[in-house]
Amino acid sequence: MLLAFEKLNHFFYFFKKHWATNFLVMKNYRILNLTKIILNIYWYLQLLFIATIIIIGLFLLFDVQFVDLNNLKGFKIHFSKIIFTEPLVFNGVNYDFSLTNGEGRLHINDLDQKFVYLRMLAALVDSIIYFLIIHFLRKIFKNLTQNEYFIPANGSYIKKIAVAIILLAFVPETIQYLTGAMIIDTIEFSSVFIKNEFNFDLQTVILGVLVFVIGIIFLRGIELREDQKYTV
Amino acid sequence: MPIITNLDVMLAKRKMSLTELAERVGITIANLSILKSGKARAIRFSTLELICEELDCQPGDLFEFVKKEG
Repeated sequence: MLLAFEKLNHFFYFFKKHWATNFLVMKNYRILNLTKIILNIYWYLQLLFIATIIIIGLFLLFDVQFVDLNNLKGFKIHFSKIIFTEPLVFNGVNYDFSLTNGEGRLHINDLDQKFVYLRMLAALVDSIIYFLIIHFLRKIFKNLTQNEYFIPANGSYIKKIAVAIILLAFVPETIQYLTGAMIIDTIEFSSVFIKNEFNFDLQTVILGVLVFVIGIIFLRGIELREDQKYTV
Repeated sequence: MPIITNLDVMLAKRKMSLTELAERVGITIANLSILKSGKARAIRFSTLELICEELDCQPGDLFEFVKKEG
């Protein structure tokens, strides 16, 4: 009886020490590998998206006829108020109505919209920043799958991702704002009150700063580990 | 690093090998090699005490401060 108990105890000890650990390592490794594959697919899709934007930009530049690009020529606006001249008929009663504080895409037919290139640029910058974030994430995951967790390169990539996230909150929005400013200054709208707002995403900025801080802490951790390693 | 380790000089003076010192002090040869080659970033007082005791020297005999040029 005692021998059987000892054997059982030994089995549990062995399970706890080896099998369970290996199982967790394998599980983590599979999750990492799966994420790496997803990131790789996303990376290629993003590359394809950038290529598409460049191709569409070239189509616009050469004003090709075989592709209808009119939809692209609209631009994003923020309006404070749109007053409609025609009344709204509701249950046989006429009502004056308006739209307030909205966002939409304004299309003006047959207008030489040079600013469309600025919009394309905003989309391109946006895509490139996303691409860079995915690119650095891929590199981190490559290191992780090679069992290299706490290396300075990973810390450096985290910091670069943080900078990219902060840029993502500012740069494309700045270009959009400038584009809007160009148009709204030159076109008059009757009964439409348009405001060109610069609305950057504060949450994205906070996220970027948080990631940057994590990067700094990560690098400091590596430094401390090195200090520990070279302390005799 | 402006701090230079003179462990090799002291070992030569005491006619002692690194392996022997490692055995006497109870530190791995790898760690002593780090100290000897100047790669060490810090040294514990306990380690310093043991080394000084075995080599019969002062901490100042083991380390030297050299000012950076420029």
